[in-house]
Amino acid sequence: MTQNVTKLQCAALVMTTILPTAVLILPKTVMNSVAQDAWISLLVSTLGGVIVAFALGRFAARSKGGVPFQKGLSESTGRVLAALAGLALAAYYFSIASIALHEFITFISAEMLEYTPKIVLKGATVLVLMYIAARGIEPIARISVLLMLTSIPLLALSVLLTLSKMTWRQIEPVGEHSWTSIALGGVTPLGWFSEVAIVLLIAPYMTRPKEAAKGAVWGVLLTGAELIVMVLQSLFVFGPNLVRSMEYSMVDLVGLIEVGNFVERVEVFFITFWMSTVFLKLGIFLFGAIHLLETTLKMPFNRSPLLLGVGLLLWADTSYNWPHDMNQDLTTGITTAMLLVCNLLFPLALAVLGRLMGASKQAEGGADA
Amino acid sequence: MRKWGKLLTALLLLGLTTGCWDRIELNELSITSATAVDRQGDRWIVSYQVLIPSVVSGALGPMKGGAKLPITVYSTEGPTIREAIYQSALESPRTLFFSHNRVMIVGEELAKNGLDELIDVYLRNSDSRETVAVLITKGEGRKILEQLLQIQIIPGDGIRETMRTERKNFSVLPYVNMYKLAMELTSEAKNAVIPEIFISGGEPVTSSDQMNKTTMSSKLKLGRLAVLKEGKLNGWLKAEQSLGANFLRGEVKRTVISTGCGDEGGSNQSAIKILNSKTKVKPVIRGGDEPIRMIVNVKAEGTLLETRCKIDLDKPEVISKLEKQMEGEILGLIRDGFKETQKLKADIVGFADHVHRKYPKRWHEMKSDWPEEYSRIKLEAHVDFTLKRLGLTSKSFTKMFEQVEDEKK
Repeated sequence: MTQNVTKLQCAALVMTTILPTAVLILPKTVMNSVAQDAWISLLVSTLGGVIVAFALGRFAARSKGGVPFQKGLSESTGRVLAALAGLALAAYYFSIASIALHEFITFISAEMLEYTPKIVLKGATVLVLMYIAARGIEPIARISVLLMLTSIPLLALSVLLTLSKMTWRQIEPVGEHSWTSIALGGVTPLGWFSEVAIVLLIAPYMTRPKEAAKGAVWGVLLTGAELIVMVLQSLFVFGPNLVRSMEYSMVDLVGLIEVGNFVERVEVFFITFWMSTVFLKLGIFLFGAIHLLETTLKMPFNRSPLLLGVGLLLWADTSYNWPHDMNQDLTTGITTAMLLVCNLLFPLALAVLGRLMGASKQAEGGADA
Repeated sequence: MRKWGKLLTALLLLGLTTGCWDRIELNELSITSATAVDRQGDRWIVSYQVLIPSVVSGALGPMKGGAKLPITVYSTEGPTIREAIYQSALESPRTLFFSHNRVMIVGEELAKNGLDELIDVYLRNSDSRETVAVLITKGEGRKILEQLLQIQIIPGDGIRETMRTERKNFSVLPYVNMYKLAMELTSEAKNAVIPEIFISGGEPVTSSDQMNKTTMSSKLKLGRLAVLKEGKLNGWLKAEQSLGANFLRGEVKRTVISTGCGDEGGSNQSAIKILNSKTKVKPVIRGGDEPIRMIVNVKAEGTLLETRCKIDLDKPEVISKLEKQMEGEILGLIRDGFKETQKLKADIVGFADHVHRKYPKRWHEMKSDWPEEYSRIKLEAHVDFTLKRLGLTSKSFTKMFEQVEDEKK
């Protein structure tokens, strides 16, 4: 792969990795914890996300241009550890792709295609994801920029069209919940922000890998800003108590848009855009799994057979692993823990290990000399 | 070989792109424009006002004798709302489609039992839209759906437009839709309001023959305001009381109020149109047994529409007196409306939210006893009214007429 990904594209990729599913689940989850103070929790977790993005970005910036993350890791931590890390991260990306695909299809099924079997919807989506993953990171990055640039005016439009339904005072009393509750409310969003770890896979293909930290930080900041606007929008229109009972408050929100008798039922327009961002997000995860597998296993053949195998496995896993669609609280809790461990703790442990092993190698080299 | 592989893949993909299980043709749908829900014992009665598309498209002209009606009304029943709706499959060749449902009429009996289940249906199912306007009626909701309108072809559409026009130009009744109703019932006070609709006049108009007259024997009309406490019908406010409550809710856009002539005595001598109104509410809690004080400031502007007062409107002091009298009128409406809600112990004006916002800790202490606290609230309302315009003439015609008479003498 060539090094073509720019800093802007890196930020857009980070945004595409975090935002699409966060939009769906976070308003309800955070308002369940801290009601009208949800925006403060999000603000706190965005700041936490910026620190995470900076740390992971610095780790990613150490990669050599054009050398895949896993290969770079084997140089610092040794082949065995790097292979284990590569397989573990591939398993993580596969698993998170499966969970996110399930969430996405549950939404499609609940809101639009009730009678279409989910196995068919999941199969069709996996085909698209396989195509996205086959194209590689650079086309995904280019489309991410387009989606990022479109998301800002679309969000502004939705705010403008729901302005008349907003009650600003729904935000009061500000800071009613304790700082502990507000911080705890920010844990789930922090899990989502930790997905910025994708920067580890992107950095080697950046024109300047050293800019990975900046790209990651900007990505998290933009995502945080959009999420805060969306949560405030839901809060101002529905109030905290109603949002808590809404599975997809953002969809209900755009469903309220009515301008006279001629602009109505425009949610399809917003949902279509949102769907394209989810496809891209899932494509990034599948790409992550494939990319890590092919570099770890050092495949002697091209990507297609691996893609076909992993795609089929993803279809089977996401179709048969979920007997029920509900229990979102449980899945959100498990997912948050998994996100924080795999995106934050695991890479940071690898970075520390790499440093320590590098230092001991240097010491050995010095002693040999 | 590669070519054949591609061809085979393309053919297989065709199978996935032919459509989906949710495909439905337009001619398989029964588009409902209004729905009514009633309760009879433990049974739910759901009535539908369904459009007849071929008639709607050709019914733009006046109704001819014996012409087909654009709607048909029928009801189904069941132990739950959704089962009642699915019972329609036994009698209708088409699937009911609720995305264009404009209004939901709630029967009084159902409202007395509580609206929780109905709201749950709306929040749970994607085919029911939360933008649907909600109204309540005494007796059966079905009767409202059967009543035809002359000006608007589709009655459901007509009812919603009436509500919108009323809110925009008269503001006596609020425009309540399903999401607002759910929002109010989940607010701190857990109370809500629904406007009433009723058939005014004599025999209901349900056939095209009755429609083919310049004056119909009866028509649909918006009436009082139903007060819901914790989801159940608790009482009614008269139109004037509802306007007073609407001032407190800050929902008065435009309205017309009849007043006197300043200090020259008499009432209902002038009509003033309020062009905009803003309400600020500030709770004050002193502690102890002292009741909560609610300081309400209403700032309104208006224009003179009509007068038969013998006053000289060119004089600023006359205008000032007229403004004072108007302030008194608004104050009276507010106090009357508020007093009635206190009698019902139903906080429909959102004072609970104001107390929660300003005194969050105190609010949690008094939350459980809020209806009692609300009934003891001391209202301190202040109205600041400015008469912005006098219309196209500054003198009343009565005054001019009197002047001419005086000159003749």
